[in-house]
Amino acid sequence: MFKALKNIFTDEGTLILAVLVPLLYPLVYSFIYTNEVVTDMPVCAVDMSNTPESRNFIRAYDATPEVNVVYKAPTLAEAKQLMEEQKVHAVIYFPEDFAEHWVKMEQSPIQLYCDMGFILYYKAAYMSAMNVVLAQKHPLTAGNADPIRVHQIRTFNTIEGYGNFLLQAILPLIIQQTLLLALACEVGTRRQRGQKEIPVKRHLTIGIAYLLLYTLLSAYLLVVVPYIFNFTQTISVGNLFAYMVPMLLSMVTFALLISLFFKRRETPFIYIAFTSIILLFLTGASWPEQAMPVFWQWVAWIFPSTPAVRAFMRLNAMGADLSMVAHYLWIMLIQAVVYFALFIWIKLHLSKKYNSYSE
Amino acid sequence: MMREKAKSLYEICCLTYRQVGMLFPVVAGMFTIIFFTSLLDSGIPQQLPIAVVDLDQTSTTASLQRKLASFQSTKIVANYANVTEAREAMQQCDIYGYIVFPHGFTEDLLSGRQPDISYYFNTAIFTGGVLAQKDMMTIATLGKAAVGQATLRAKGLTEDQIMGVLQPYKIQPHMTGNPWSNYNIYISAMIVPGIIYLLLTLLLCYYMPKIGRAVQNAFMMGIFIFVFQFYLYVILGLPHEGSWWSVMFISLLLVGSGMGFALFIFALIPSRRMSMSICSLWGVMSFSMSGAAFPVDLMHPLLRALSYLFPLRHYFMSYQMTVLHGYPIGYSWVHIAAMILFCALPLLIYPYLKYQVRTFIYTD
Repeated sequence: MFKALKNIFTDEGTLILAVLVPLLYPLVYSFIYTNEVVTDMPVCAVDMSNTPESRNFIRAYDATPEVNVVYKAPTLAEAKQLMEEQKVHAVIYFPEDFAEHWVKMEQSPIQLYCDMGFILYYKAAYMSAMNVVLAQKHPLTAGNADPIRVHQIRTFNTIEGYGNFLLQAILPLIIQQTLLLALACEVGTRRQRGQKEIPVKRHLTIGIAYLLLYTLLSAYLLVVVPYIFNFTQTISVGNLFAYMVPMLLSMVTFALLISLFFKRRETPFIYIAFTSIILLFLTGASWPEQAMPVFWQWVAWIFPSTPAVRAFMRLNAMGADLSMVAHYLWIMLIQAVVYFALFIWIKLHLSKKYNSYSE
Repeated sequence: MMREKAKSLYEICCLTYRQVGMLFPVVAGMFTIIFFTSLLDSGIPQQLPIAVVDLDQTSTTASLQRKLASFQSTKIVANYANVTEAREAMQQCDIYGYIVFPHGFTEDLLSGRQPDISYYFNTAIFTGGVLAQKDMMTIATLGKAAVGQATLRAKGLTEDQIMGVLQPYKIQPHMTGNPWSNYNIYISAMIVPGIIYLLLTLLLCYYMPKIGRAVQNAFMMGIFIFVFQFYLYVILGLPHEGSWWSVMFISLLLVGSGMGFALFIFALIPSRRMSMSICSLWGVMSFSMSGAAFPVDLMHPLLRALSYLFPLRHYFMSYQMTVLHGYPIGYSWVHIAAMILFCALPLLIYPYLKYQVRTFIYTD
C-alpha cells in the first residue's frame, strides 16, 4: 500500500496528473472567471430623435452596472462600423420619430443591435435595456404608482457570477478526469515496461492508493477552492462525507475499469483528455438536462461525473438537503458495484493468461 | 467459445494506438461532430419547466396565469401550494423558476394598494436560469398591463394606447449573425473545432519524432474541422454571414497553427509525455481562454495578455468576426497574423527542431 502511494509520487507522469494538475488547475480556472460578471461593456448610442426622453433613456442605460455608453455616433452606419472594429458590443438606436410615438401614446420602438459573438455581452445588453424600459413611465401615469410591483429575485447564485456557476460543475469533473488519466497512465506504464499483466491484488492496491490520495484532494477541490474564491458553499460537513464516499467509490472503480484498456503510457492523453468537455455537457450544467435528447440523457448515466456533478451542484450551490440528492448517491453506488464487478470479471477471465496470483 | 470471443474482443478494445491506427481520428472526429450537433439540435431549449405559486387563488390570478401559458422556451409544469415546495423543486432542478402571487393580491389590487408579483429564477444553472428569467420578465410585464388595462379603458384609451401608456418603450433586438440566438451556433461552432484542435496536437506529439507520420495523422484529424464546417453550414444549414472561403481559410489556419504549436512544444521539450501533457493542458484551457463563453476582455490583464498564446483564441476571434458576422477579414488581421505565426513557428526554429528529432531518445 505504502509502495503504491510512493509510486504515484516518484513517477513524473502520475505526479503531474494526480497531484499537480488537481492542485493547480482549479486555481487557474477560478482565476480565469474571477471577475464573474459583465461590467461596463462598451456600447454606442445613436440618438436621431435628440429629445429629453431619449437622453434620459441613454443616461439610465449608461447608469446600469453592465453597460457603459462610451460612444455617441451621429449615424447608424458609423455605430455599426465601431461594432465591426469590436470597439463596442452593442448599439442602441433611437429613430427620428421616437418622441412622436410617445406623444400619440403608442409604444416607441428602440432598436438594439447586439454583438452575437459573445453570449454574455448579448445577455447584458438586452437584459439591462429591458430593465430600463420596465422602469420608465409615461407622463400620464407618472404620478400614479404602478398597479403592481414586480420583484426579480436571483436564487442561489445571487451575483449571477459565471465562475460561481461553472466551477461548481468543473470541480467534481476535474477529480474524475485526473483520476482516469493518472490511473490509466500508471497501468499503461507498467504494461509497457513488460509486466504484461498486473496481478489483481496489486491492481486493487493501486486503486486503494488512489482512493486515499483523492480523499485528500477532493477535500481540497470541493471545500478549499470554493472557499478561496468565495463561491457559494452550502454543503455541510456531514453531507460532504455522505457525498464523497459514493463519489470516490464510483470514480475510482470507473478509473480501475478504464485502466484495463490501456497498454501504453501516453495513449490515455489521446483518449481521455478530449472527453472532459463532452462529459461536462452530459452533466446538464451548461445545457439543461430537460433540453437534452432522450438518447444522450440515458448515455449520461454511464459516467460517474453525471450524478457526481449534479449532486454536488445541488448540495453546494443550491443548498439542497441530502434527501433531495439521495437518488444520485444511490446511482453512484450502483455504478461503483457494476464497475467493480466488470473490472474483476475482465481481470480474471479475459486477461487470465497473464495472470499470476502471487506478486 | 463465448469466452474466447470475449477475450479477443477485449484485446481489440485495448487501446494501443498502433492497433487502432487511422481509425481513431475518424471515430473521434465523427463522434464529436454528431454529439454536439445532436445534443444542441433544438438550438434553444424548448419548454423549460417553470412553476407558479398562487397563494391568492382568485379568478383574477387564475386569468393572469392563463396569459402566461403561451411561451415557447418555458412551460408552466406545476402549481405549488407554497413557496417552500417551489424552492425545493428548484433545488432539485425540476423547475428553473417560479412566480409568486401573494396572499391578498386581488384585494390589494382592487383597492389600489400596489400588490407584488415576485419571480425567482435559478442562477446556479446558467442557461436554464437566464431563459426562465427572460420569459418571466415578459410575463410580469404582461401581468402589469393586464391589471392596468381596466382603469385605463375606463379613461377611454384604446388597446394600443394602453400598452403605450403602461410601457412607453419597446426594445427591438437585432441579433445579427445569430438571429434566433441559436446555441448550436454558439457552442458547436466553437467546441467542435476546439476538440479537433486538441486531438491533433496530441496525435502530433504522440508520433514524434517520426515527423512524416506525425504530420500525416494530425492532418487526418484536422480534416474533420472541414467535415464539421460542411455538416454545420451545408447539411444543417445554420446561418453564416461570411463566405465559404473565409470558413475554409480560418479552418486551415487552425489546423496549421495546431501543428505548428505542437511541433514547437516538442522542440522545446523533447519528451513525448511532457509535450503531450502540455498540449492537453493547453488544449483544454483553450476553451476558456478563447473567450467564447466568458469574454477575454473581462479577465485579469495578465490572462488577457496570455490569451494571445492560444491558437484557439485567434480562431474564435476570426470566426466570430469573419464567419458569424461577415465583417471584412481585415478587421481580424491581428488574429489571422497570429495564426500564421503559429503555423510558421516550426520553420523559424527548424534547425533546432531537426536536431531534437535526430537526437530524440524515448524514455517512459
